[in-house]
Amino acid sequence: MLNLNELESRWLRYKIKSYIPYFIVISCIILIITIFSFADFSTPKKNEKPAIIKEKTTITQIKAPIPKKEKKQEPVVVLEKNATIKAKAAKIEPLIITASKEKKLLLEPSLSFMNNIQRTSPQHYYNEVPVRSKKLATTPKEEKTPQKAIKQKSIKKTPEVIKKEVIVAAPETEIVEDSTISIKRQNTHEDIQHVIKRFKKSNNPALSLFVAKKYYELENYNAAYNYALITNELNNDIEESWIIFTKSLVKLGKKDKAIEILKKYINNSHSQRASLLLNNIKSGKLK
Amino acid sequence: MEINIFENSKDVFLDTVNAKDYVQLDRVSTIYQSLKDSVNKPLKMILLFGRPGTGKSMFLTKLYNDLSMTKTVHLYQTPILDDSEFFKRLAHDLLNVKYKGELNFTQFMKIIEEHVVDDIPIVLLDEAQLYSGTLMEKIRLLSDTRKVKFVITLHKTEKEDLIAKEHFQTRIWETIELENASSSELKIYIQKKLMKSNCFDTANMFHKNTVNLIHKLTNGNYRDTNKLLYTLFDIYANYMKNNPSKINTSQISKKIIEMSAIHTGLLDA
Repeated sequence: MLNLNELESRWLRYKIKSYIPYFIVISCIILIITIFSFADFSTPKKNEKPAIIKEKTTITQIKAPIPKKEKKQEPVVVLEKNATIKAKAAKIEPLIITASKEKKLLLEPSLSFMNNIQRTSPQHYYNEVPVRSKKLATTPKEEKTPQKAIKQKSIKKTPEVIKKEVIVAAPETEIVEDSTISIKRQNTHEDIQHVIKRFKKSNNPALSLFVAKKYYELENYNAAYNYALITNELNNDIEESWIIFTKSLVKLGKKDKAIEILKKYINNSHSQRASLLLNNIKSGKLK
Repeated sequence: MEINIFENSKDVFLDTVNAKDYVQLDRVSTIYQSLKDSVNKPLKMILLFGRPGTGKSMFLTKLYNDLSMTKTVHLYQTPILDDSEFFKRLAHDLLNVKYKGELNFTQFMKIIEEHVVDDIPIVLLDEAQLYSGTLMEKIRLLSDTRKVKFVITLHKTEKEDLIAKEHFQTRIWETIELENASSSELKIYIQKKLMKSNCFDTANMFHKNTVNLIHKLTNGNYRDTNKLLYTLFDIYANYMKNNPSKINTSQISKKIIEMSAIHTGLLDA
């Protein structure tokens, strides 16, 4: 006679035993997945910090593009002058004087600025920029003599004053040229690509908006339009994204569509910036 | 009514060697036919071998049943281990002579050589692995006289393989190997067996998946399958009596198969 209860309990034990390996395997897989997912989350966090810094740097670059352009032109002239001065030192002095005389007014503000720095915190200046101090280190002999000359014969010996102006102004313009041009032109595309990579990983609308803005600034309106559109799809409450989106549309020649979209957006959000932009587009200020 | 079905089905799988229970399967019937053909050939000895539970005894019983109508056939299901007793039994069956006292091999050989036979008698020896090496050698010498033909069955194990090599493979004898059933053969075997006993309802309960599981547990061994199914129907009969709501009569439950396997020792729980 069979004891069914005992047999059932034996069967239950057997079933539990047979499921143990599957349970172990599944739990191991889950464990591995969670470990990897944590690892994935932790690594981007580390990467985010430098990325933010990069964003900051790029933003600062964007803020001052116009004065740099103006300055770029000047240093070339000054550098050339400086080179010619160093090369032809004493022989071609009269030529340099005539050149400097013409641009005397332009160089004056930078001279006073430098003088102020030298008077207030010369040590700090040298400590902050060691590369520049090296460059300056070659000039002090030249600087000292003109300064003495200023004190002694401030009005009478104009050539010496001009010399000083040229020599002192040269390092400052060199600094501007080295830092701004190299960073701005080389890093923007890399930054965008880096941000795009990060965006593909995280799908963060802030990143896509940043890319859209950058492309708009670089006058790549198609890409700016696309990334603004992606941003809107991810989050349709970002005012900046709608503005970039409509501005790109205007730039792409779809003014009517841009107006239509802006109107709809203003109706929903009552955004003042959007209504300002709408007015600008309508009045033709933004083309 | 349902209980009777399970009770009847249970009895179908009782481990008995009965020619009536022989189930005709394609591969098995081909082997059986070749065995029958070999018996008609002028061969001295035929070796039938296979792992335990592959149906050797059933084959021999079936052969005995089929041949006994037309030929002189003697089936020794239980091995006679004593030499004298073995020869006395042979003398009785083949020559119809009863010997009292000892009968050794030399004496028996003398008698058998003098005996004139028109139809060579066939002796079927089951479980021949139990015979001693010397007795097997004597049986071989007996078959050399061509006064008697032997069909012997052997378990196929490493040890018995050695015996087979030593005693049989050097001579031109027919050897037939029996193997375990495949999954599809097992399904036919189970269903034919049940339908032979008019258990159509239970025969219909065996689907492909059910038979696959049984095959996995028994490895297609007929004896193990019989054992498993006997227990399975016993469990079903018990459930039917005490807790009929627990069973599904449309399909054999996987749980009950596993319970049967645990009970019969095919599964270690």
